[in-house]
Amino acid sequence: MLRFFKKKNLLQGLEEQRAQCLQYNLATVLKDNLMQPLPDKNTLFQVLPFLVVDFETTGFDVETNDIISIGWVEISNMQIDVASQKHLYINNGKQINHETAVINHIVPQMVSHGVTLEEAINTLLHHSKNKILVVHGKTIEKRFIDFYAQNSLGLPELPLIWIDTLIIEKWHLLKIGAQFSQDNRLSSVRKRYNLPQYTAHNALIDSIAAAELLLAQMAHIYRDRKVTFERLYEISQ
Amino acid sequence: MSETLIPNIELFIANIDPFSRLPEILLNRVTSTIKIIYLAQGEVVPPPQTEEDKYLFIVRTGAVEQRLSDGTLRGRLEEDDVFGFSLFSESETRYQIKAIDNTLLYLIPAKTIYHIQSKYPEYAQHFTAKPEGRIHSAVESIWKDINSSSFFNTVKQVSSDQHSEVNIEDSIRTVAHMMRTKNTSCAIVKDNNELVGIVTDTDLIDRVIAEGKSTESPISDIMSPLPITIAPHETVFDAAIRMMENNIKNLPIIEDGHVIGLLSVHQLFQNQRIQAIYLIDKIKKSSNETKLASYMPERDSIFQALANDKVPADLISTILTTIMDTVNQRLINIAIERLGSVPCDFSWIVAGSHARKEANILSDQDSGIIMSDKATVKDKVYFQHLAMIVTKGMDLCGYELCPGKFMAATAKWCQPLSVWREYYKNWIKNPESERLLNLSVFLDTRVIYGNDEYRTILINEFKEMTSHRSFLAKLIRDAAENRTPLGVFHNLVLTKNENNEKTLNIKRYGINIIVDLARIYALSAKSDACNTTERLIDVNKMGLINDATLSNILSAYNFLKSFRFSYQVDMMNKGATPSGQIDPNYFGSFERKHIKDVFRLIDDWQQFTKMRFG
Repeated sequence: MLRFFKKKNLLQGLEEQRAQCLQYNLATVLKDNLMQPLPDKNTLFQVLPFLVVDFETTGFDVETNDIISIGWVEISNMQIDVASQKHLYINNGKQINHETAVINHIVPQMVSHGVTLEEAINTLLHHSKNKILVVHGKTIEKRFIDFYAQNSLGLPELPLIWIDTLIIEKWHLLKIGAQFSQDNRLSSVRKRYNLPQYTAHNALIDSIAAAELLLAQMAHIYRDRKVTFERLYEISQ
Repeated sequence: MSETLIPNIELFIANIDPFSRLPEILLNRVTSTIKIIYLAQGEVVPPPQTEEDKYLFIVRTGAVEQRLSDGTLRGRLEEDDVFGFSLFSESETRYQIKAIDNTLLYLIPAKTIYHIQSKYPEYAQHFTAKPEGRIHSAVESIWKDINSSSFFNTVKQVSSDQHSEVNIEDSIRTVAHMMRTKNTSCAIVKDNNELVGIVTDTDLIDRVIAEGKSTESPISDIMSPLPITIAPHETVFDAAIRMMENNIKNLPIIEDGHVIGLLSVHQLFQNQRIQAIYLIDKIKKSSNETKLASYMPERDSIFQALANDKVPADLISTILTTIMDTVNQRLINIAIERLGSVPCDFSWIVAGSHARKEANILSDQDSGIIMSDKATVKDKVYFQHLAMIVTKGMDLCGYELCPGKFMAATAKWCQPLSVWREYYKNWIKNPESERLLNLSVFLDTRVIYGNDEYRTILINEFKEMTSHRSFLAKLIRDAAENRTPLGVFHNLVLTKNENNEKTLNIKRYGINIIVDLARIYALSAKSDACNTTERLIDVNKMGLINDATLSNILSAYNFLKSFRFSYQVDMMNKGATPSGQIDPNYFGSFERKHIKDVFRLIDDWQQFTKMRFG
């Protein structure tokens, strides 16, 4: 949908989308989020506030699979602030199947202490107010959120501000003329930036991992760190 | 919530000293306040603007260097290294932090550290800005043990007043009766309320029953007169050493001239696995070299027990030295028994670490004989034979031959006083190369047998010359050739051992530097102390080094010695031969961090001393 607009108008497009969305009758927390103006397009990267997020899901199909947990951490002034971390387990009343439990190390007890999907999304919307959402490979997170928007809120999609470290990485590889299609999974990309290998995985750890990657990418791609919000947004779409 | 929220961070810092010493609740707190930054190679950490902006840093991956404002390199830090302690202190110099590799840094806010320091004072020492404070707390944290600290209990604390007191006129039978009633193995003999002797159950067997002596005889016939005593304020450590040196198992406790109690070896080591005193006893009773050598595995197990118990390094050295002295003295006696009585006055001197009472499990022999100037050619041959027997015996007992042949068995080091006098005169006048080596060995000497006047004569005669500035300048030049193994980047520089493995030689590049410098200061102050710790304390009293330097250097010295002992005992526990060269893989984060602090302190002191005497 965004591709419809010309590249230089990407931010403008997002702004229009948010305005359109506000026409609907929205819950306060969502309205509150969308009503905030986008950062000025010339704002430098280092002063931008980010919320780096990761979803753990039971699979890729939004129709049949569920979000199990959401983790996030904030970046401000180019520092990842661990104190801002949040890790929510989602209790959708369904049984956790064995395979998922093994892959994600999530046991039923955790889920029973969890929150509903609605509560989780609302908490995320509240915390991401005035912040740029960052994910590694936004397909999953964006599709699950949009599916929730369509299904539960009757909206076409949620025009949140997404930045994607996976797309930034692909753009960077293209720019430096990398020959072969690279392995761009989070752990593989991190290795290229001399970031530590994390053996454990969950939504929170992976959000911290993605946050570290964003800082590393900015340090390497823009050595002078003079990258603006507009530029950053463009290269990550 | 006891479960770790963020295992990737918490498990990492849980292995990093000093955080590894925090309880889980504090570790959780530290983790939850961390900030993470990434520096590409060449990037600089912005200097702190406010108090809020101060951090302790942990290198998660990559490497950084610290540069002082004049551009000089302060240090280089790699993965797992912690730095920034000095940022908490106003007095220490500020420095810039620059990434020399792509680096992920964990930042722990000063607020978190202050919180730990104020709420949990027991952990405050680990985060102090002063490296010596951190080393001190590091030494304490490993080398504290209920058993070892009991060494510093006073005699009063450990003794019980259960002992028998008898009168000098009492009969042997009366005394034995009293000992049975009071269930003691030792009685104190008094005359007019004055201590005059001591009697043990062993004495009753050896001197009464075995001799068929009448039990009606007075106790004064069989008592040991004028016993060695101890004061109530002295430590268990003092008592242990006194018992070992004199091969006795009971010490009357004297206060203001009165006997107030009795300290027995059993009380001393109720909770100790130390068998050292019993080993000394066996050594003294050994009739030949083979017998002696058969006891030496006991020496190794005593060392293992002491080091496993983390007994302070100074004490371990003293015990090992006492054992070494006793073996050496016993061998001299064995040699004399074999060769016939000594033809003229002589003294057996030991040199080097043995003389300084700094023996360790790998100590080799350094010795010499100074004989009377009246010695004839025949007498000289006698002493050479004697030295040969002793030196070979020592070797058999596991004290290796000195590779530099600084042993009495070498004819050069078995000479009359006048020849030794010429040696010293020559060395001091022209302290070049080979002479300097001889000199550095024979500047530390101690008499363990025979006439100790010879050594005193030599020392006093050359005291003036050896305190001369020009002489000390030569010594310091030589001592400065060994530098701490910190590279230009202040990383640890490893040397290859004979198997071509990279190792760290902390004896040569750490301990020896302190020993050499302490000797130079002691000579300059004309101090008679020979032990390195005593020398440092001595020259501090005389005002040559200040209190801060003394405490720094002693911390560093104790850390290295303790570390060496624990390394050696770990090797022995694994069944390997202990060595002085340490495999860098042996270092945990704990040691790596502190050893750099230690080397930096030594290096600073060495540079300072060079300026002062050079």
